[in-house]
Amino acid sequence: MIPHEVWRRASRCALSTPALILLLAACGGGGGGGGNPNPAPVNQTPTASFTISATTGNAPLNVSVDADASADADGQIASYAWDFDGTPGIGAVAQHTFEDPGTFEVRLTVTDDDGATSTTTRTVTVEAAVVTSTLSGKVRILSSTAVDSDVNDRLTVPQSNNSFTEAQDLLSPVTLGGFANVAGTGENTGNLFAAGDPRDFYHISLAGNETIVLTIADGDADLDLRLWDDGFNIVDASLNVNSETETIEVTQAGTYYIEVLPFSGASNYVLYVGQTAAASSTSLQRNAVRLSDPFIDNQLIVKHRQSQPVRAPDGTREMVAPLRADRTRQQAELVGPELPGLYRLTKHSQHSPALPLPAGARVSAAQRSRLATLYQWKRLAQDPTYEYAELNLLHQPHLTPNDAFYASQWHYPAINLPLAWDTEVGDANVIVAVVDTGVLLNHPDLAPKLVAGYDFISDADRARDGDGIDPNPDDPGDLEFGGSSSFHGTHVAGTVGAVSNNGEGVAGVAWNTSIMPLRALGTDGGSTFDIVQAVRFAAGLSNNSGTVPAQRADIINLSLGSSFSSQSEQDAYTAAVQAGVIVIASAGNESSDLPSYPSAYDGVVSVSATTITNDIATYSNSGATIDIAAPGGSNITDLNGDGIGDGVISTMGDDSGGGAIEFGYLAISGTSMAAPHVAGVASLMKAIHPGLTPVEFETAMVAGQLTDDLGSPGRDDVFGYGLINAQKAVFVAQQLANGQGVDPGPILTASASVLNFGGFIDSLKVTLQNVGSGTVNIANVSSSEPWLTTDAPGSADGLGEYTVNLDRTGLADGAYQATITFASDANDVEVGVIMQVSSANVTADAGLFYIILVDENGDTLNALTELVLANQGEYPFTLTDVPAGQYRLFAGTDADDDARLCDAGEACGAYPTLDAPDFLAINDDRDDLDFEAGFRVNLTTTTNAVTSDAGTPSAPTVSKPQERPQDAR
Amino acid sequence: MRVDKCSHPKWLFMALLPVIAAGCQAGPPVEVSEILNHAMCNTLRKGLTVVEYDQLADIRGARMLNAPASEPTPESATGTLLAVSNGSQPTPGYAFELREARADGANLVLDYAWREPPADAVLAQVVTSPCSVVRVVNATNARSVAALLDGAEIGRVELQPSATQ
Repeated sequence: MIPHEVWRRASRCALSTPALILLLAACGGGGGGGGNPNPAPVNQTPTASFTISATTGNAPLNVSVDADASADADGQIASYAWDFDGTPGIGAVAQHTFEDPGTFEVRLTVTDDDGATSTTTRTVTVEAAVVTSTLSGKVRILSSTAVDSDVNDRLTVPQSNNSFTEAQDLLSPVTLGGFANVAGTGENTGNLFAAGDPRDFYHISLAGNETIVLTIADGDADLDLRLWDDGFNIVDASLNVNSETETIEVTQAGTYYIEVLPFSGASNYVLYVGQTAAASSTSLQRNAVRLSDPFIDNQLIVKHRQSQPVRAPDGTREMVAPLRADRTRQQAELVGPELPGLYRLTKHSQHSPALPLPAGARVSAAQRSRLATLYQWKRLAQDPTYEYAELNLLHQPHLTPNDAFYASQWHYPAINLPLAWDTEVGDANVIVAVVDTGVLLNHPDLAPKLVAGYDFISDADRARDGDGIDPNPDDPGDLEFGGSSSFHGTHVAGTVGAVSNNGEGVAGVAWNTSIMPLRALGTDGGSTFDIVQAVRFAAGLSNNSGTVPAQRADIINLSLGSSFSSQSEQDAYTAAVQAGVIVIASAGNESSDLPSYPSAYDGVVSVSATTITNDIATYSNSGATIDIAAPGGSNITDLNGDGIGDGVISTMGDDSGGGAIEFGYLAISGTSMAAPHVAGVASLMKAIHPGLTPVEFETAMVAGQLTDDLGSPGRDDVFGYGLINAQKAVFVAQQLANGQGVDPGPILTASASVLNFGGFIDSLKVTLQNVGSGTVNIANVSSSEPWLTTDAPGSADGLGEYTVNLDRTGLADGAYQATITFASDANDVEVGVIMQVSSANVTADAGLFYIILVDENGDTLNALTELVLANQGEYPFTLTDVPAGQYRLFAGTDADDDARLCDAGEACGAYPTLDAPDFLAINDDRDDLDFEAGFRVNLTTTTNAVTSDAGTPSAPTVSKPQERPQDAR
Repeated sequence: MRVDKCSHPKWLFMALLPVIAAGCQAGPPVEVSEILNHAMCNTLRKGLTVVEYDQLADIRGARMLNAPASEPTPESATGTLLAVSNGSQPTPGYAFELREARADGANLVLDYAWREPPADAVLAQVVTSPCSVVRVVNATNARSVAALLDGAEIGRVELQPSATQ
């Protein structure tokens, strides 16, 4: 028998004859010649083969190789030689590490026991190493941050605060983020979609000097704010419509329940409770509609849309019908009303059980009725059937004259005269000259106010009194109103200073100011020459009458105009102003921006006209010469519904009957009516500060101290420096009278009027400054309470930054108030202090935070989203396996469950700050990524802080898991 | 129908001056009387408008606030009242002057001239709303009334049959 191995070798060589010959040659003969009957066997080459653990991978790539599969058919493998792309290795099994990326060859060469070799190769691809990092840090929130215990975020477990007994405890000051919704509104993935969140209650002790501000994030939702005392009695409610805010002021110390409740829709909200001094909250309060506001119970003013039938809204009955402007009801029913109607709530509506009151609430019958009025108003205000619905507000002016038509003189409250009258109603020693058509000297509402004047109309025909100039400025009429005379000067004079508070007729701007009637306008107007003479007379300057008044006028009113100018007129006004007279003129009624004279002359105050809505009157001139605006009215509207056109109401005469002139009152409009408002206010200023000069008046006007700015900010060509504000004007006069207009002297002020330490803060800063002139030295600093101390700055005068410290040790729970008094050699300044002591376990908490990385493309790395909960006011976070790259780091809550962070009303932060989130270049671990977050209340810039470099707003979004994490609440 | 030219004073309120004496058709003559010409007609809009007697007090905007709430309707309150207005004007001195009332087929034409204040006058800066109100009686054949102002039509109204009886 042939051994198997030999046979195999033989069979490999025993092929065809020629092949055999060749094979023999190749096999090497093997001993002996061809005649040898047992030639030596031919060695066969081995077979090289190996396995490798990996042919691709990231650097460094370690590979194991195993050559066990190699074989030698006629012997054994004697050796294994490896070549790992230049690095040798030996043995049947070997290992190698490729450190760098690249494509490599692994070569195996085997040698058998006969010295024959065989080689095989494999290719290995090594890719670049992936660098990952671990990022960690803390998100810090203010100590006064809190969160609603039931929000819509599906990853939180809502804890009900929907009743008095479930109310969350808060400490003042606090900024709380929350969510409320009517059932079935909001994100349907959230906790509260189905059942709704009908109310959130918060329990808080207040010192009685706080404002509660509710800021509503979603403009389509309507949330309201109510305040209850500790006995569940309603204190106040803020129930606006289409408002971003609700505000309630707290004036009494005590423990309260704050209730936030949805009227419609779903929204995040931010609830702020803190000191009243915040300017933003003060400005917000002006628009609030509250239970405590002075509105007439059970009455609503409703304006139907033109396309809607005119009928009483459900739950009301008509008191005053809606009308057309010409007061015809039939037309209103046909084509819709132009005027609103007044409606009373029905008895049923007043006692409707539908009022959204919480269990246990105590509401008196009167309060229930008022709440019913407010809620009915809210319903109608949001009903598209109506153009608008309003509460019938009770206006309570300050010093109010009792003149019969005063209630219709809208043009006086429009310039804050009632407030000014609290300070000054005029002085008989102040004289306003009215250069006009003359004045009805016997008008009962003017006669007592008149001083001697003059008639300067030189043309007897135009004068209509039978002669040229004469000392009698009585107005015989000009027949300029068709068959009736205009008695224009009488109307103007009445606005300046009709006899006021006499129970008859009208009030004037200045109740006690004297009026000098000067006649210069007759039939077909007046001449330049006559007007110049009148102006010079008023100013106590020589004129063609040959006389001057016993006392010159302090102010000249010229409700007249022409497109023509003259040097003689300019000279007259220059002379009058140089004499110390303030000259005021109407800007003209041509709806033009061309100058009208005399208002356009240098030194003359030019007055444009406003309407009852504080808009510019359509007829009023504009342009570069306009200085100031005042009510001129418009008789084609009756927006206040008093049955009188919305012109300016003043004294008038009527000679249309052909007999004796009848004295009366009339509403007319024009810049003629605007100018005397300014003249009257100037006379009030003069009564306070007799030394008031034209320069001082102009300086204050240019500084905006006499006006409310309307139109474009600052001076504009329509309203000039703004609408005259009598209250501001008398204040300026007081300042000037006290010398403060020239040199205010030293004035000590503090950087804060109230310091609110809340429940956690122990020290705050306040800075003292001298905002006046000269020097101020602090003489003494005292505190009203022993737990309150101050550290003074080291300055010699005591001005600078003070540290105010408080020590709560030993104090019982509750809200505390105190005062720090800074006494100086100029004036004393008091700074209020509010703080709380509480043993309750109330810690800062903004709710469940999502910590996310957003890459350069604005994509959120969802796999790296971290959910963290507050830990004593801090949110420690760790993000692992973060690939190298450029990222922005955000932290935010998602109270409304829309998967978009940093919505209005949600907490939001970014590294290093939300204002300027930087890109982080991540290629290594970081453990210092600390940053701050807080609730976003700037509703108009919801996403701006999360903005890409390209400026495109991009609120970060998260892909939220469907289930809550185990540690969620 | 021929309408006589009317010469009238500036102020004709309630004067009821007839301006039409005769017509070419049978029946009583058409009468057109200007009963109001005033500078303060507040509630009127620009153009020609049919008004009622009880509106006159409000139209005449210069009626003072302490005047009687309404003015008595004259016993002769028949026919149709037509008011023409040219809108608001910046100053006094603007007025309608009724030059002629004439027939033009079935159309009654009120031909007004427009008066303006002297261009160079210094004027009171009070807004005015001049108007003219006429009473048309016995215009049974007239189907419409047009008002011309300096030759240009400023308004037109269609008359109801028997409205001007």
